[in-house]
Amino acid sequence: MLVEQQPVADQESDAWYVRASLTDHGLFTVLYDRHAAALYRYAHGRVGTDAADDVVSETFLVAFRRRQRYDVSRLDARPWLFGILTKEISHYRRRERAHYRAVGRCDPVEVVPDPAERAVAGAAAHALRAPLARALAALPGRDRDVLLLIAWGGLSYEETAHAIGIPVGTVRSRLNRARRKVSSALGGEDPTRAVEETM
Amino acid sequence: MNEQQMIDQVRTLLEPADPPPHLRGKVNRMIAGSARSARARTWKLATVGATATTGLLALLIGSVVSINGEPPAASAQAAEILHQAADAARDDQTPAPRAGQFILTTTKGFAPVVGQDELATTLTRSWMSVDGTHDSLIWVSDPPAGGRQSTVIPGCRDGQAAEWAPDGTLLNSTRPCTPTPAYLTNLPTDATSMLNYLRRMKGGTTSSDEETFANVGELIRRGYLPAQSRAALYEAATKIPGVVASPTMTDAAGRSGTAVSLAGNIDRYDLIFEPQTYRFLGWQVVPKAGNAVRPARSEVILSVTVVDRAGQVS
Repeated sequence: MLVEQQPVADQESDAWYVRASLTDHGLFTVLYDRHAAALYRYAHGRVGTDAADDVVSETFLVAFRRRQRYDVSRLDARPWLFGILTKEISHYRRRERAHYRAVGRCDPVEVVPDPAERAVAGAAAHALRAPLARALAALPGRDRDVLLLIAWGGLSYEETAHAIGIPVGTVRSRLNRARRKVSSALGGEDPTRAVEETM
Repeated sequence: MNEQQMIDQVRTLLEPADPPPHLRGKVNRMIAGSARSARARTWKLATVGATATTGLLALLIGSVVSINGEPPAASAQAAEILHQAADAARDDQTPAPRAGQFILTTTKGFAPVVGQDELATTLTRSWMSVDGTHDSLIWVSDPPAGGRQSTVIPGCRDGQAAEWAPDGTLLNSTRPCTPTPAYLTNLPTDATSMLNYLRRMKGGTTSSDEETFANVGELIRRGYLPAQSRAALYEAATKIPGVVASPTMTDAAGRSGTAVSLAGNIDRYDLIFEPQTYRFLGWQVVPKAGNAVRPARSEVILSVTVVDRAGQVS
């Protein structure tokens, strides 16, 4: 029976797999195969190579443990997984800050990536030093989460709202606030004018 | 700047990064461990069933064998292949690459596409500067939507390298750097030190056997090893438990060779040699046989060679 079902199963929704993994936990791997690349890329951009490994694997473990509570009316599990990843990244940052405090250093603003690893990985790593990246780093964490879930995670406004459990109106206002700050940091655009444009 | 423009600009900051091959196995082990402990809790409440007992016995037997047995290592046949390869490496008279040359690593990836039976293939060529001071280049046959086909990795000269603009082009401004040579001259040259190096490549904690063997592939991907280090790498692999011989094998790209393999939780890792000369032929990560989910992702390092110019194919 199982063998016959398999080709059909490949076409099933994430929700189907989350539910099916309640009886056959091996099926949870399908969620990894579908979404690990996007989650890893996002995590890599946010916390660097070493920590990305940990936060992504923790994300899947947490998701697996919470799979009974998954709302199966949501066919695409991406917002759910990105929501868990966002929390994992924020836990990671807290642990990291606690560590730096413990060893008596000041808070790192961002994790400094290993330049060698990044160069091999091969692209705009050092653009993190460019003004845009500085503007991003200066954003409040909650606004940055929203902006990056959309820009790097590829989530829609609604999916972002679902991922971090806020109303979609709040997503819009955080994004708008981020836009004003990024615009003024980049182009020296008059921030007051930016506010007017949105009205 | 409107919101869409900002999002597009921010998107260009995200560099390409793929999950490392061992991550899938790691996640699966964590999930299996979590499911096991959940079941263990259930057993305390429920009657122990026959299948559960079998599973528990298998676990017990597994742990007894690894405690009482000899220090486990690669199978004898795999060790033989690896020693042959190490000898071939030591005999390699190819001169060391010159500072101005490039290490060309060619990789082929196979990935499933939604709604399509055929796997999508991507060819990647990377020309990495031998001494790290020249501009390196990465070329991808089929970049993802919005991605670049060629990316220049600026060389590090006099402690400075060009900065990237958000769109991936090089700027006139520079940042401090240290060169990343692709000719890896600082690696251990004996098997024991190399094994320790592989076990600790990912930072402080000791890697599992699967991760350690996967790190062989990571090292091959990172650059070109001097003959003595290459020999040490192959001999270190003889000390990794679970490494077995695959005397005849056809890789994902259809080439045949003789290989040593380690079956991880999900994926199998193959280090492949030419059957006659025992020279390096390839490295691949493929889903383990019997893993039901198809079509599956796999990747083959097709070759690692030395060329004079970045962009030169042969």
